[in-house]
Amino acid sequence: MSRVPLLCAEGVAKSFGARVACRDVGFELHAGEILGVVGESGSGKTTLLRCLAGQLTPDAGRVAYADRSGALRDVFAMSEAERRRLARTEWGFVHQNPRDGLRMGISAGANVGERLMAVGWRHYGAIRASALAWLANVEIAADRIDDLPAGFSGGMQQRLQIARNLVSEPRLVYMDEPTGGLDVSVQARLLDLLRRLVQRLQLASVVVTHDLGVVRMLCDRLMVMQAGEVVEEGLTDQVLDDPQHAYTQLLVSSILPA
Amino acid sequence: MARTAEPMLTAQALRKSFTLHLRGGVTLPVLEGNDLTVAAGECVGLLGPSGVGKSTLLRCLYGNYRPQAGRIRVRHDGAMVDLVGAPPYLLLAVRRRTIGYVSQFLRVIPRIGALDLVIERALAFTPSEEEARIRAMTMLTALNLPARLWALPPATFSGGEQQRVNLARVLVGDYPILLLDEPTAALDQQNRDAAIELIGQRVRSGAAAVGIFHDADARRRLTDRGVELVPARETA
Repeated sequence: MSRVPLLCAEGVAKSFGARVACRDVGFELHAGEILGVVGESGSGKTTLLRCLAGQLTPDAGRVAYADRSGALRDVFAMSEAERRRLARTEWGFVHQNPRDGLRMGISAGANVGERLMAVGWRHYGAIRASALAWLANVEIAADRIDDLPAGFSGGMQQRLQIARNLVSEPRLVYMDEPTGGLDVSVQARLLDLLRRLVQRLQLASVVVTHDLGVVRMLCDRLMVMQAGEVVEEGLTDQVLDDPQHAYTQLLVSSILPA
Repeated sequence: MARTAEPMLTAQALRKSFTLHLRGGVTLPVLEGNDLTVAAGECVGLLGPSGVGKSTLLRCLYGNYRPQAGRIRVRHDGAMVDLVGAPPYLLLAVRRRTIGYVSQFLRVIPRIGALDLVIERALAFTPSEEEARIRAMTMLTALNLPARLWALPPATFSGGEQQRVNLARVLVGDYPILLLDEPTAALDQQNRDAAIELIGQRVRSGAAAVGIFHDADARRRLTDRGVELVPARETA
């Protein structure tokens, strides 16, 4: 693991009117690391994620990303076109609601293949083969490749969205409650898949969730947010086994035993 | 067994207490200035009654519990690094290649088979997937885990079978430092003998080990010396 971070955030803050969504958030993320962001609804997790991904402009602070050339670049100093190019080629974003991350009017296979075309793939056979392999990875039957995602269950749509994001092998993937509406069995399979991909491709990920079970399985590191501020951070097992802030202790003590 | 060698692991003046904010902020002191030095090729047993902080000390050495004060230094990639306050990526790298920790209970992702769980750890020590697989199969065989269980996730295994998967995940690697929290407690006599022999081999080939062994036989056969922990002072 290199010492040059892939993503670097400093003092990130965002308010909506008088309401502070997040304040003074900073961290470094290295290739191959998964950072979990936990906290209750309204603690600013999703706002932070959207700021990191360049979708919302923070009121203060800096977000820098080391692109494939290795240069650390300020995400908000670059042009809109450049941010879009990064979002298409080097980043992925898995939305909580799969309808926000899929194109509902085109087939499942096209949803996956479109990402490959965006990074320059042109050979139809290769695109279709890769789409099929990715549908299998996320346990969607091959005979659904030409179906519209509107006809899929919520869990299938979410798996399709993950396939669409990972097929182009991005270097950094943002995930907002990626396993939210899924069956427990599918959730475990997806977490396993995500973790292996992170290890194999040495990609990095920021995962927002309120599910501490997901965090335990998927994330190397953890930030705990309360009312827009990071109240505790550390390796996942440090924070969950030895929680130090009152709010983290409350979260950890509230986990229902399986 | 003991050799004179540079220390692989040192702990100095470790202090660890737990503040329970949901219980009115009561503070439980556990470690109060503990020291420990372990050389390559040496196995040190932590001694003392239940609740004295033996597991807490091991967890601090692994970076799982965060001490309030003190230093923990380990030899990692040829240099001594301080684990207290280490950046996450460094601690993760130390865990990947330098410190193997056998906990009392196996905690792994559901739906992954036992063999794959062991291969995953072996891959930190060899770039070859084939060699990792062979090493993992060899280790599960040495620990007498029946081959019919290898493809199954350990969630349904007995306590002793889970403990052997746990041991295999650590002994399959060439970790120069081993932390062992009751590694043989859940095993029957035959499997205990196998586990003790494999741990002993790692120590004889130069690993530095720190362990908690309530089992007197394991303690006698593995440890070169013991370190007695004393209870922290009760404070209001």
